[in-house]
Parts: sequence; structure tokens; C-alpha cells
Amino acid sequence: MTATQELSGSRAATSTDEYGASRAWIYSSIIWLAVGTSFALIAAIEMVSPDFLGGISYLEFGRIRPIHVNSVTFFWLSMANIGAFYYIVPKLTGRPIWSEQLAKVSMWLWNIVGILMVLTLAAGFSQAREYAEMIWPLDIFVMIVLLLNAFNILMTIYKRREKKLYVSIWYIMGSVVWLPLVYAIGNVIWSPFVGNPDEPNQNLFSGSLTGINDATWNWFYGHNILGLWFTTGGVALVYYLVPVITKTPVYSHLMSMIGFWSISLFYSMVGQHHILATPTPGYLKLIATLGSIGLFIPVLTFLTNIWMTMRGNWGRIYASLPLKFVLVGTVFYFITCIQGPFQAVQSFNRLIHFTNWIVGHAHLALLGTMTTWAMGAIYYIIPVTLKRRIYSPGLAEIQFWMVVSGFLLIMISLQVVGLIQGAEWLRGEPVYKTVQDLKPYFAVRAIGGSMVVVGAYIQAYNIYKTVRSGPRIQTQMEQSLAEVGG
Amino acid sequence: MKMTFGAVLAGAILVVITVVFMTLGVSTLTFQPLPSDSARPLTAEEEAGRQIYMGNGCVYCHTQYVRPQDWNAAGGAPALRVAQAGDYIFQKTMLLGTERTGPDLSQEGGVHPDDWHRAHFTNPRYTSPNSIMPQFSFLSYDETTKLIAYVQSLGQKSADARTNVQKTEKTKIVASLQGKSGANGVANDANYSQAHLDYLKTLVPSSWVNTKSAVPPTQRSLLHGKQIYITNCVGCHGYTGQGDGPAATYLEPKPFNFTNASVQMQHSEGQYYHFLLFGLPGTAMPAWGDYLTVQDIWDVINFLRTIPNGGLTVPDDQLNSNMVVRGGLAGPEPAPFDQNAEGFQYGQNLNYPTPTAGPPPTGSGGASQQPVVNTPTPSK
Repeated sequence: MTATQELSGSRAATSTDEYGASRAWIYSSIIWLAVGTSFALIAAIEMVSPDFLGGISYLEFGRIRPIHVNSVTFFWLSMANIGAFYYIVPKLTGRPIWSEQLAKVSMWLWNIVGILMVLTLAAGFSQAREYAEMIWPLDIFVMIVLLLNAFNILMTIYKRREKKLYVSIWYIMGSVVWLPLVYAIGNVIWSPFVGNPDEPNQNLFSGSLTGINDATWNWFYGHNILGLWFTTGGVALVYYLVPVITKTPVYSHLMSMIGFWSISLFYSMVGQHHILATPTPGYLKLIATLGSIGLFIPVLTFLTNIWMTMRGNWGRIYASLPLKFVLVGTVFYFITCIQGPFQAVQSFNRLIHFTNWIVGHAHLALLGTMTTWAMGAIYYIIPVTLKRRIYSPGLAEIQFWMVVSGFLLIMISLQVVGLIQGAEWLRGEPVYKTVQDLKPYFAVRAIGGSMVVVGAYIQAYNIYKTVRSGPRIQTQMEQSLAEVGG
Repeated sequence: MKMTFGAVLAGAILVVITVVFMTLGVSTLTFQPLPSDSARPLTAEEEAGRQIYMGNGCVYCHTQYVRPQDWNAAGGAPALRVAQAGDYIFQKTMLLGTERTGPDLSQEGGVHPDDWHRAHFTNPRYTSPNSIMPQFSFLSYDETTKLIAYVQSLGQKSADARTNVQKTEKTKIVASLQGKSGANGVANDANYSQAHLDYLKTLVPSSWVNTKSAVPPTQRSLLHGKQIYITNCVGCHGYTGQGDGPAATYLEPKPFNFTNASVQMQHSEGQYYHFLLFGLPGTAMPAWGDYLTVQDIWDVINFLRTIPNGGLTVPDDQLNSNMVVRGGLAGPEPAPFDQNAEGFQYGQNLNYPTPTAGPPPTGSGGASQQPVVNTPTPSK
């Protein structure tokens, strides 16, 4: 058998290779991105034209919004990240995933949770806790899948062949352990029922505490789902992709280590900065503000490390689509993490809290940064594991520009209008009067959003066509090229 | 340090657990506020409404805490109260919110009567034309009732006091209608009982009843008033001024009908001003003092006076001060100076102090400086 025959392989051989689980998670995530952004577009249009689809209960803005947020966070980003983990972990440990079967079962379970999430939220069952809207029975379901996943990944790493743990592995280990921890604590998962049965509280499906302390728990969760899951998961991807594609070792091991330990310390402190003006204990706010400023340390060490790794390699971004996605993502990560600490300082928080600035910032982190990282990972992993070249690099380019420019329209319009809102409120204008100022900016946001939706559908189409009919990688040279993201 | 499997795993867990204990653990164990003077538990109906509030994602646009700097967040100065920890003592699941696309609701209870809320939930544009809130017309009548009960509970004991005022005032106003206009669902009818018109006069201090419009009804004033009326008032008072806007179906008493000149003659401008500034508790008429300036209010009152004479139907360029209703309490405007007069436009007959050359006056001597009459020639 020649090398060419071996590489081209049969279809059956391709679908049973050791990265099948990785791709399964990624395929699901791609569908969820299209679903989640479509819901977002409906919500965005409803904010410009409130009677659009008015009177349809399950498409009401307040129900669509959490469906959008949960779809793109838990079912697009999380699934894409986990899919990438199932590729990166075997690569870095020198062994297949501990249980390919378990990984696929978790994937299906996770998709079932997603469908139940859409149905329950559309039907009006919600915990009304931001990022934690899924009702208590679903929380239990989520926890089971998260633990299965964590177990699978940790067992793979524990039984590894390659003794040395690379920095991506630290972040993956941290992420898969922190997510269930944060999820259980933040959802107050042990307290779904009210203690006193005589109280007329029918809220049987919302894990939460009674009294203002509940807000502290809510926002511990709300921030750490970003800080200890999406961020750390994304950082693991970047730490893998950039050195592999550029064939350059990471610039500094020490910086990697400082980044890892400081992110786990500082990120877990900052939840309270979402509710700085509430009547909650002052020391929590102090810790949150200091922690937020402390986040400069992991962010700057990580970015310096990556950008220094890129020394002499910057020209590669023109040749490598994954690298382009990832590095543009690092630029947005830089902006995110400059904005973040400033937002957590009381004087600036006075101006922008409650405004659409924050919504813009959330999109900067989750769309501008994490989404482009995940897209880069997908455009790297699919060709390499499938041994097929991308069906249309041109479409992928269009996707890149649609997502990036659509995102920029979203972020800039929302942050501009956020400053307007903040300034008018401080001047004493009532909220009802400032609503009319939002409309033109919301229209720009809907336009940017529709570009992102187009990008999401292009990705789904392009990957689908790649799987079905992407040109096969036939020579050793083409394979080597795919492995450096070409 | 050597990053072994055990070190990474144990370290990652220990660091986060330590911080969790330091923040969540210690604060929850030590911070147990007492109930505030306003706090009270919700009734079963209010709690059911709270579930609807949660399930429909109201929390994404409405906050439920007022920060010290938010003196106008709720859109109702009398309802201002900076949040206290003890306000939340009886609530499970905090609904503080993080976005304020719509007004803060922590003191919403009693600011509006129940029927205003029913119209507003059916379609927020009925009562608040600029709103971008979704329709909640899909909620059943009972669900809306529960939701209104919850919204009226926001602000707890302070809200209860306001809600009681709304209820007692409503009873009195509806009684004064004596089954005529606006009572028992009669709309589009300007045949008000004298008792009602007299009762409305008792709701404002007599000095306000005797106050005339401070702004002459120039065409500019009328056009501005019309614009304010169209953008804010038509939801209830209607495009015809008959009190038949889309919200009117839900309201009791019905919105006021402005089309009858003889009824308008029984209201003074000062009385209108009072109702616009503070609202009319017991009816859906909200307080506009937070939204409109003094001039806005006078302009819209001037415009209201033209409605019986076709102010809402004539083209804008035909709207003029001759259409203003006069007689009775609708008195002539006070000491006019005509903004359209040629002399005003060219600055004639107005005293402008002309800056003089030489040193500025010192000390109190400045007051003795005589103003110089400046009479520029109109440039043609």
C-alpha cells in the first residue's frame, strides 16, 4: 500500500478514526452557532421594531434573549472548545482519548440538554439568572454531562504517554474542573426549593438563595463562566494552535506559569464587579475591583507570550486561515481585557453600568475573541483530522470578514450608545426619554448581527461541503501543509 | 515549580475554592441584614406574578435597584428610594438586573393604576409611544392580573401606600362622573357632568385654578405643542382628541375628551399645568414633570385649546392663535409680547447694555452704570 492510498483511505476508515468524537462535537457546535445567532437576529430586530412578531409568546424578546445567550455560550462555544480539547488532548498526551464512546455519548447528551433548554425557555420557564437561565432539572442534567466530560479528559491526561504537561493541558485541566465547580456553586444547585413550605413561593425550579446575598452568588457564577471556562478554554486553544502552526516553541515557560496561576486566582475574585452599586458588603467590591485590575497580569503575560512566539512569523497570517482567526482574536482579547478592569473601577462603572456598553463588552469577549478563536480551531482541526482540504477557502475568507466586521458594528454601536445612556442618566434624564436615543444604534447593531448570522451559515455550509466533498489530501506534502494551517 | 498532574489539578481546585470561601462563604455567613422599614413578603398572587416576570425575561431590561446617583431612574421623583440590603430580605432569587433599557422598577408599585398597566402590557406603545418593550398580549387576563399585582408590589410598603391612593382617588373620580362620559365604558363623549368638572377643580390649589398660560399661543408654540401631543398623548387621548386612543379601551375613567369648547372653558391653563406636572392619581394620567420642560407643558396646553376648533385636523401651516378657545376659565393670554412681531425679530425696543470702552466699573459702582438703548436699523 502506497502512502497516497493510505492517506486517501476509505470513507469508513475516516469516520472511525481517533478524532471522530472531536469532530462530532465540532459539527454540533457549528449548528448551534447558526441557531444561536438566528435567535439573536430576531431579538435584535425586536429591539428596533418591538411589534415585529409581537404577541407570539415563545418569540418574545425576554425569552429569545436567554435562548440566544445559552445557545452561543454553552452550545456553540463550549461545544467547539470541547471538540478542540478532544483533538488537542490526544495530540499532547500521545494517546487516544480515554473513551471515544463516552465522548460521543456526552455529545448527544449535551445536545439533548440544548434542545430542552430552547424548549423550556421558549415556554417561559427560566431561573432569570443571567447565563444560568436553565431551570433546576436541566442544571442536574448539565452537571452530569460536565462531570462525564471532565472525567474523560482527566483520565486521558492521567494515563498519558507524553510525560511532560504542556501549558494547553494545564488550562484544559483547569477548565474542565472549574466549569462544574462554578456551575454547581453559582446555580446554588442544592437549594431549588423554599425552606418553609407555608411560604407562598411557587418558584420550585430555581436554585437560589433568599436575600441580597443571592446576587453575589449569581455574579460569582456570571463572571466565572466567562473567566474560568470560556477564557481558559480559549487560551488553551491559542497556546496549542499558534506554536503548532508557526512551528515555533512558546516564547516563555515562566510566563505561561504566571498566567495560569494568576488567572485562577484573580478571575475567581471578580464577580462582584457586576453589582458594584448594590447594598452588598463593601469588602467584596474591593476584592472584585482589585482582582479585576490584577487580571492585567494573566492577560498581558499570555498576550506577550503569544505575540513574542509570533516573532518572525507574522507573515504566516496571510497563508494560514486558522492563524488569522486566532491572532485577530488575540487583538480583541487585548481590547476586552483593557476595558474590563476599567469597567470594574467605581468612577467609570458609575458611567457605564446598566448601559448597552456592557452588552458591547460581552460581545467583544464572546464573539470578537472566543468565537474567532474557536473558528480558527475548527478550520485547523477539520482538514487535519478529515484529511480533506477546506471546500472553499474563499468562503472562509468571506466568513472571516463577515464575522469580524459584523462584530465590530455590534460592539461599536452598543458602546457608543452606552456612553450616551450613561451620560444622560448622570445628567438626570429619565430612562424612558433615553430609550429613543437607542433606536438608530440598535438598527446598526441588527445590521452587524445579520452579518454575523451570514458568517455562521457560511461556516456551516463550508464545513458541510468540506465533509462531503472537500478535495482529499493525497500527498505527504499536502498533509504537512494542513498541519501548519495552510 | 514542576507542573505535574497532581499539582495542576489540586492547585486549580484549591485556589478557586479558597477564593470562593473568602468571598461567597464569608460574606454569606456574616452579612445577614435585617428587614428594612419597607420590606414585606409577597402575597400568593404577587408571587405568581413574579414567576411570570422571571419566565418572560423582564429582568433583562428592568433593574430593581436604585443607585445613589440615580435620582431619576424610575421616572417618578416621589418614588425615589436608594436600594437597601434589607429591602430584599423576603425574596428568593434576586432580580436586580444588569441592564436598564427600560426604567428601574424597584419603586414602580402605585406610580400607575392597574388599568394603565393592563393597557401597557397589552401593547406598551398604547401608553408610552416611544417604548421598545415587547407586547405581552399573549398573557391571559388572569396572568396579566397576577403580573400587575407583582408590579404594584414593587416598592413594598411604600408602594402599598401609593397603590391605596390610586384606589381611593379612582373611586372618587369615577363617582363624580355620575354615569356620564368616561364612566361605565362610555367613550367619545364630551358630555361631562358638572360634578366631575367641579371635582377636578378641587384637586388643584385655587391659585393654580386662577393661573393663565405663561406662554402666548404663537404658531411656534402651537406647533411644538402639537408635536408633543402627537408623540406622547395620542395613545390615550387619541388622534382626534376625543379620548379614544388605543389604550382607552382598558382605562376607567376614560381619557379626557378635549373636543368640547364649553367643557374646556371650565378648565384653566393652571389646572391643566397641575395635571400635566403631577399627573392625576386614580386615573391613567401620569406625571409628565420628569419628561417635559416648563415650556413644553405650556406649549402643549396652548395646543389643547385649539382642539375644539380643529387643531388636530387642520394642516400645520393653518394652525394659529385664533383657534385657541377663549372664555370662562380659558382666559386671554397674559401680557403678550409677540415673538412674531417684526420689532422683536430685529431686536428693536429691547434694551441691550452696550459694552463701553475704558476700564470696567469697580466695586459696587457697577450697578450705577446706565443701560444704553440700542436701536439698530433693520437691515433689508
